[in-house]
Amino acid sequence: MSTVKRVFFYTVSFITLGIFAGGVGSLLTLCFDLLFKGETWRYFAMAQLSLGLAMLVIGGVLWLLFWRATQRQVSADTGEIASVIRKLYLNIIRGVSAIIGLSAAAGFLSWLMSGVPLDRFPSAGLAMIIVTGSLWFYHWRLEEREGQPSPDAKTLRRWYIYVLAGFGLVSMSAGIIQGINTAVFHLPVWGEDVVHGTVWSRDFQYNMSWVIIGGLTWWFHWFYMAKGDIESVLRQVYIYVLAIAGGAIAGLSALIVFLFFLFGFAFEGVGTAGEGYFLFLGWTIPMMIVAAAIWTYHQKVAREEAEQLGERNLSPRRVYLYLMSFIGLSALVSGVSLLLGVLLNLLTRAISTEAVVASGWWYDQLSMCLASLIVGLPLWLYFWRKTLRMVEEGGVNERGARSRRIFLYLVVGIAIIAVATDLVIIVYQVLNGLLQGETGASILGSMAWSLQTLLVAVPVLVYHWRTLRQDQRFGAEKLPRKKRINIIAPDGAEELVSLVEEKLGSRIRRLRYLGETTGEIPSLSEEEIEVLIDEIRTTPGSGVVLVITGGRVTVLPYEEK
Amino acid sequence: MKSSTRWLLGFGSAIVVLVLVSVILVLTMTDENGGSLLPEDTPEGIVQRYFLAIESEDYEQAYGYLSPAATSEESRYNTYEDWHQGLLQRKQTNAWKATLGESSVTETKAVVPVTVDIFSPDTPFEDPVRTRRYTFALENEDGLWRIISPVYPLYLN
Repeated sequence: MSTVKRVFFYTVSFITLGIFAGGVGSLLTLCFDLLFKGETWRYFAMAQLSLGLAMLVIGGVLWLLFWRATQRQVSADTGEIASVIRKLYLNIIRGVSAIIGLSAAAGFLSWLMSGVPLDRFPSAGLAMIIVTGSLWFYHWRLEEREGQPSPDAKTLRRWYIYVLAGFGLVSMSAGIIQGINTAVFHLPVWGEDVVHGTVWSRDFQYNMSWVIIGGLTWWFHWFYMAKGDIESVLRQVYIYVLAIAGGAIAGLSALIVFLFFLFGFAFEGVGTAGEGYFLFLGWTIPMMIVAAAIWTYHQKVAREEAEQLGERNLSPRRVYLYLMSFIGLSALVSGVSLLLGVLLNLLTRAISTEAVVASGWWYDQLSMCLASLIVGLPLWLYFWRKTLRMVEEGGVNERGARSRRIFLYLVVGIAIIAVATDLVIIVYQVLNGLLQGETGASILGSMAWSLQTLLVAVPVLVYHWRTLRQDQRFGAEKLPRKKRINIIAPDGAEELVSLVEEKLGSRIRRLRYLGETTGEIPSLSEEEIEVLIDEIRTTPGSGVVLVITGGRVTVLPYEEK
Repeated sequence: MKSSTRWLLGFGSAIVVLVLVSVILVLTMTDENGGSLLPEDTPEGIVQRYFLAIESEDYEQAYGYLSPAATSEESRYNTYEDWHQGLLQRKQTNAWKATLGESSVTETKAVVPVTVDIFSPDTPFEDPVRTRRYTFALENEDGLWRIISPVYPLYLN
């Protein structure tokens, strides 16, 4: 099939399948309504029946026609099976149907937990579960049976797996935190104003059902479908960005709020909130614990997988250290700018003669900046010092590492933009204030935030700019570019390719040789492998093609035009 | 000592000093509603007392500074109960401060500009202070200054 034809067939199949599924869902909902909700639903039944039947018949016939035609074209053709459009179609359908179906399942489970009240029978939810469940199962089986004969097909499958694993993990965590928060809210310690109803409320049941549904989803996709996929870049993104960085951000945010309220209590007491002041404990503590559990578990997984990946184990560790440094620096910068805000406020107050009525103004600001600093400063110092130690040990190669360059350029870039923006606002406010005859205190007040962020951005910029320049002086920008390595090999050479990949410490683009194979796959000794690696590294050009054929490995260097 | 360590120590020390200075200044120099109470027979004094009453949650007192004639013409909040309810909805737990600007006074009318800053931190790099500006209009009714606008509950969130 040509690409245009493929796009046409899969798009039409997708739309008609949607109409067909909508029709089935609508009719099932109607059946459940009539069965469980009785006569009162009969008024709505006719319109729903007509629409459902129209959608089912038209959508179903069209989908069957197009889908059968598509399947006939595919039959056992590996090229068709591996096509990006087909894999995109299959993975989008199973991803979307899974997410919609799981949401409906959470609602249904919550209804079961509430004691199966028939007047609240979730007809639409159950219909959704049946329809999306069938769609998911059919496309899941099809995709798993066909396999993934191309790298693109593997990547699209990974997208599905890690999106669903992330969805499950986040849903489960949110359910746990909100469930505990609901339970804490109902404890008989908050005074009379706060307690309403029982713990076993609809909110609590809904949260618990998300814990179960989210947990099962995460377990299935993470432990079963993603098992052994340690070479995948998407897996690293999932582990480092979603789980470790996401967990750290969530946990540290909860810690900052926790400290903010504690400082508020220390400075001002509970105020008019009474016992209810401490309700923040109900979500901040569970969030810190859940985030810490996610962070610790995924960090352990990352470390174990890094060990299995051999020489490449420094790369994920480096990403992790710079990511944590960035999070720490963000909290620190935020805390220092708030601190400067307090000082500027005090200055404005000292030079102003205007009357001020304030409610919690000073203590709230001070509490927030202390909370941010207590979290941000140690976090940044701890992780940044680790990166400094890595640079001392790793020399110029460490200074030239991609994650370090990204971190430094990102920080310098953000700082330059912040300084430029702040300067524009400050100059504008000063000129505008002077021309309009405003008082010094008023001008200072209107440009306070820009002044605060400028005073923080300048040292951050100077420090990271110096570090960047130092790296450049050491030759971090002049490191030889990594060679692009391709290998053309017939089936059966996987072991040799993996060995070369492992020794090189970088990924090789694998291409299957389709010509006539002469000679066996060569079996190279340790010394021969070393010679081959040396040849790959020292040979000129921006890339290398390794050809395994005729019982030997040929190294062909090339330069891209 | 290495240059990088010196820089880190410098940063750390500067931040610690800033923290100490700020804590000491806030704890010693600021009482939340510090400064003198303005005379009650001035428009500024009434507006100041209006905010002080809201701050101390003495809502009946605050309502008393509003002109009865003006409140009766207000479409939604023309009774104390409605006004009180509206204020509670618009006044959350965020910290705020109200700064009285330069007023203009004639014999029977006055205008007092007020800037209300609300501290509501959200994302790390966003200005945590939101500013609302109100222009208070007052009228002298039988020797007493009373607020004729705004008589609706203020947004303090």
